[in-house]
Amino acid sequence: MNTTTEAIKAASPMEEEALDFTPLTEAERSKIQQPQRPSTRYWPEVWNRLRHNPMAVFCMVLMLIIILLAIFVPIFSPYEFDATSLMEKKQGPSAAHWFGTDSAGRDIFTRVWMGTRTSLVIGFLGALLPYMLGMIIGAISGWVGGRVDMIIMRIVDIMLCIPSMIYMILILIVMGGNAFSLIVALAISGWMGSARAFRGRILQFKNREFVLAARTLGATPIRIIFHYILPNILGNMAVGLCSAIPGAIFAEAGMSYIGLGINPPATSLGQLATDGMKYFMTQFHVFIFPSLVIFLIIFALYMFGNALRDALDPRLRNEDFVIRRFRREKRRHRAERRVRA
Amino acid sequence: MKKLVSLLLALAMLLTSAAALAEGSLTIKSTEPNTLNWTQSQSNLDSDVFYLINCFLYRPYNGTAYAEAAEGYTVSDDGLTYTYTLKDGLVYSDGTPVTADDFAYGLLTKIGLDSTANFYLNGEAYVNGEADESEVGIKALDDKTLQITLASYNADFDPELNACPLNRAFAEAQGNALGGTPDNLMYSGPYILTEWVYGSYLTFEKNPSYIYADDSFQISNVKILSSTDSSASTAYSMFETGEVDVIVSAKTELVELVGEQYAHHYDSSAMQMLEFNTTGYYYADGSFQTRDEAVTALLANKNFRLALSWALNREAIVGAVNESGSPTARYYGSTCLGTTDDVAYIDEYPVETVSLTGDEAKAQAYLAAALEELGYSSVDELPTVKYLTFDSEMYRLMAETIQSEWKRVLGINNIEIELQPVQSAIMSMVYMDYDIYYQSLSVTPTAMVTSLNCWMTGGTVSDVMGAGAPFSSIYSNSQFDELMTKAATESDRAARLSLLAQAEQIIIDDAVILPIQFNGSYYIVNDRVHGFVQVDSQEGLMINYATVD
Amino acid sequence: MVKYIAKRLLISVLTIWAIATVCFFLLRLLPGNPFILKDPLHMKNAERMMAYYGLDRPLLEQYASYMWNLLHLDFGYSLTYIGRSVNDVIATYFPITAQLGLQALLVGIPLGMLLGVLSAVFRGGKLDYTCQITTILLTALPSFVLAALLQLLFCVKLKWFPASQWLSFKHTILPTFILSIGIISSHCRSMRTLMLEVGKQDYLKTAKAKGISKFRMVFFHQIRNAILPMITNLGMEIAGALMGSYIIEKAFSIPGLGSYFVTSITGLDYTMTLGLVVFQSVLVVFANFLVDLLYGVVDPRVRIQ
Repeated sequence: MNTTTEAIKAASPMEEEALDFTPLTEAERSKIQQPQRPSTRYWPEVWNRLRHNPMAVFCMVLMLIIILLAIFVPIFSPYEFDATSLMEKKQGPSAAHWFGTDSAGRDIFTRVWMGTRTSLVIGFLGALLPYMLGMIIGAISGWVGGRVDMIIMRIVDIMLCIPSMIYMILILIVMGGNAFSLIVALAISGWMGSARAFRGRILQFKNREFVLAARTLGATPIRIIFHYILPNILGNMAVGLCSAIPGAIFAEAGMSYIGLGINPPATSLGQLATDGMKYFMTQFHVFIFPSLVIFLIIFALYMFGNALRDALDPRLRNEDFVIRRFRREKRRHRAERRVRA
Repeated sequence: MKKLVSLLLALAMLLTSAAALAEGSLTIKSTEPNTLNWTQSQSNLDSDVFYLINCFLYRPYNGTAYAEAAEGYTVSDDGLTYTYTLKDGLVYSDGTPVTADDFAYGLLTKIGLDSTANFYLNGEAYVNGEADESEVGIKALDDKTLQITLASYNADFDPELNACPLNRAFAEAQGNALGGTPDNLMYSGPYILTEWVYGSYLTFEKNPSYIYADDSFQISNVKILSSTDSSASTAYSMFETGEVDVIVSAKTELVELVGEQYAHHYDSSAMQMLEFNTTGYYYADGSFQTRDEAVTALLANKNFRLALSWALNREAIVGAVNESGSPTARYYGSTCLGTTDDVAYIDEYPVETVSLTGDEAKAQAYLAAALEELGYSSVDELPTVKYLTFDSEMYRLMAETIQSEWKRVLGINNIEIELQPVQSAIMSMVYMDYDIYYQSLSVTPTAMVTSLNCWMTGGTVSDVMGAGAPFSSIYSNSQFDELMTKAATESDRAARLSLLAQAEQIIIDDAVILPIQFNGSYYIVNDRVHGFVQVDSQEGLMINYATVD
Repeated sequence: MVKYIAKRLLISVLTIWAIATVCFFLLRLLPGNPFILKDPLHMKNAERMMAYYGLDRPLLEQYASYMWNLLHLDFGYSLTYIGRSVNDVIATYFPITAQLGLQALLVGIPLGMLLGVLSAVFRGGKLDYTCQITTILLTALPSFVLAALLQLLFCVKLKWFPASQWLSFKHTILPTFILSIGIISSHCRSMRTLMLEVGKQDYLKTAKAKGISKFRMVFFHQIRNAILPMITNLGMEIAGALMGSYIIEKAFSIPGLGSYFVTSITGLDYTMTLGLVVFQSVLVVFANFLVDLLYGVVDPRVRIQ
């Protein structure tokens, strides 16, 4: 309690020395308490907030470990992920095979991390590409407006009505089952949502003062979109991407479950989990390890997305502080009351 | 005296069996039939139901057939005309009599679908729309007499026909709706389909007007659960709780779970093999195009193909990929009979083949020879070869294993697997858009000649593209053609089988096709059920003499 | 109003026509023949069947006849399940899929919203974190993996529920639960965000300044305004739920439309796929239409425009 009053006193020296107009000395200046929250730029602040969220840190570390394992395990493993060893089939986890072997004697540990590679690539690109595509189309639609907008939006409406399964299956059958065609399939079946959202954003900002000002100054539409509008929605996009990656990974797993996964010898986590289902009751390890890795990836991404969303919202900045102080005081009051009682 | 005792005994047995008559219900876990439209059914999933609801001229049972609707038949002197007489008292469940015309109509609609049309006089022309029904060698002379005329002598024609009746007026009135629901069917067989809940189950009730209702098919209610499961847990828990009595086409994991004592196995006639496109062509955009020359040269090299064949340890591969299958390096399977019914053809007529366990040293030697002939200095220079297969689980695992084994034994890295859904893959196969194709063919024991002569020059499998192709056939060997032509008209069984064995030896030696396995299947039966047998999934649910406690 | 409805109806019909047309030609791009079975011995039969179903005619002619039949609400006969019309298939399976979807929506939407409101009201508290973490934990597994695990636990080990099929209410519990998880978590998340958004609006500050109770504020101001944007998605959601999930239907052997959808595409059952797509687009288009009308009723601001 004491320190606070002192600080307030120090922060308002005006009362006592109201008529003193001489500049403050260094010593006096240092006495004045700094503003409670130093003013910072947006992104470093976001990073700062993320850094102090234990859940976010945990998720980042987890993702980093998974990515490193996916990169290095297939390189340094004594087994090749697709090498069958018919004499060693259906073994449980052991020192030689950490996750055991499958029905064709392949080392599941190596396969799981190889599959993680594929799943992560599909997840990241399969989320990014539709997003980008949707962004471009949405930007054109929102910026140009008029008939172009009408036509694009009708196309979006129509394409949204056709079940995405159709595009996915069609593209996979025509282009063959590999990571690339899966990503293309995801892009073609998934751009409509982000196009709609991005168009909305463009419309929202199109007539704002700062955009109008830039337009009057003769900025090109591309410059306006990239320099003036994009920074305003980058945060939202990052959050959206974080939840789109699990979507893409799930979509791949679902396609594998249907039987339209990627072509062998390449494999993915969804494919491995699906294969594991065949011996799910007797060889649980074949099924559970890939499922577990999917689980960890998705969990980390979702949690991180949540943390990122909180960290990005500048309006939550002060509020968080206020809420926390409010809670702290409420707790203290309660504790005091208890002591009194 | 003895006679009297045995007669009394027989009578007593009859009485007890009569007491046990039409009792109990049986629940079978199987898969959904595609259609119950007899005129268009091409799937052997449907035959389970047809076996229960139709009567047969000769009903197949456990590898043999017994006369059901037929009293018997007579053969003309030239051996081409068969005249069947029908039994009295054949009726559909609604009281309509079953006539010879129903059998004729049933056969006529069926021959277009099961590739036996060429057996009958003008049959092929009839299905192609070039001949009238009256010209075909399938005729009802009167209500009780059916006459079959063959086009020429045919070793594969089994006079104990498993034909079913189809009422012409009814079928024509139903049109496309035939077999869609229980009401769109007529029942001449042991059971009546009472309910068909699509995707869930079919229930059957004993048909009292079935001709042998008193002597066979004693189980009064049959239920087929027709949903397909993705994992074994469902079937396992249903078996444990007694919800199902019989599970057909059981997964191997299920067999492990319920225990071997409940599981039974049969070999099916579906033979799976690798097939090489040695023609150097494929069909696209309305014309034939040439394939990559290096690939064609490689696949056309017999030593290379032999290297691929010897590199495969079929026993280990099939054991890993498909536990219900049996490895094979021969064209015919164990279900094909030899000269007598108690000896298998493959035992009686041995053929020299690659070892089922493979031979790595031999494979490497063949590969070295092939590389030298083709002028390659190492396997890394080999062109990429496309391995086409279905996208279902077993086919994929098979492809992965074969690819990996080739890599391990021969060091070749040039095999690229391409998975396609069944219908698309077969279209690619027909258009020859593949280098290696994993083929599944039925090598039916009752049609040994037809099963092999499809590989003759111009044969149905060998010449999928038909006329206009710049190559004769996928597989073409004049010696083989000659043997097969002889075998088709050879009426002596032993002589025919020996011709077939010689032809088989040639096609195996040429190694354009590499047999890998015969697919088999497990079925699981619990303690309640007695006398349930299954020989091949194509033949139906043989509960003729099954009883339940 | 009448003019608006008429215009929307016209657009709806045009949209459905466009979808049918696009899909009709898209499907024919697929290589293959719907009547081929695994055995190439039957290739000739497959060609005969193509002719029987008129699939060998020029594409435009087929298109014209398909559209003509569509005008009469006739989707044609399935090419795989011979003897059954697509109308019949929809009539048999749609109720099952719809029941599953509606059950999941009925569980998922209120529960998700409730959790969202609670975690927004108690933001930063234990309840908020529990809500977030549980919904994420449950959604972090692909549904077929979750289904397999739950089947193992509840059906094989504990024997509480039947493992598969669709015969009684008991059979529906597990699939409903799994299907509703996604709905719960997405609604929880968006409700929480929207509640917080709304909480920052000036009119709420005013209301707070005027001293209304927290309960009144949450229920009469925040929730009401937070629900509004969610209604726009409702149409799609209902239509999506009604069309079912292939994966869950497959995992629980539920005879629903979802499974027909996938098998008909891979099996080249053109009429079935088209029928299902057109049926679904009708559902989506009209659900959106109704939601738009509903929106006008609920939100007075839209009505003015």
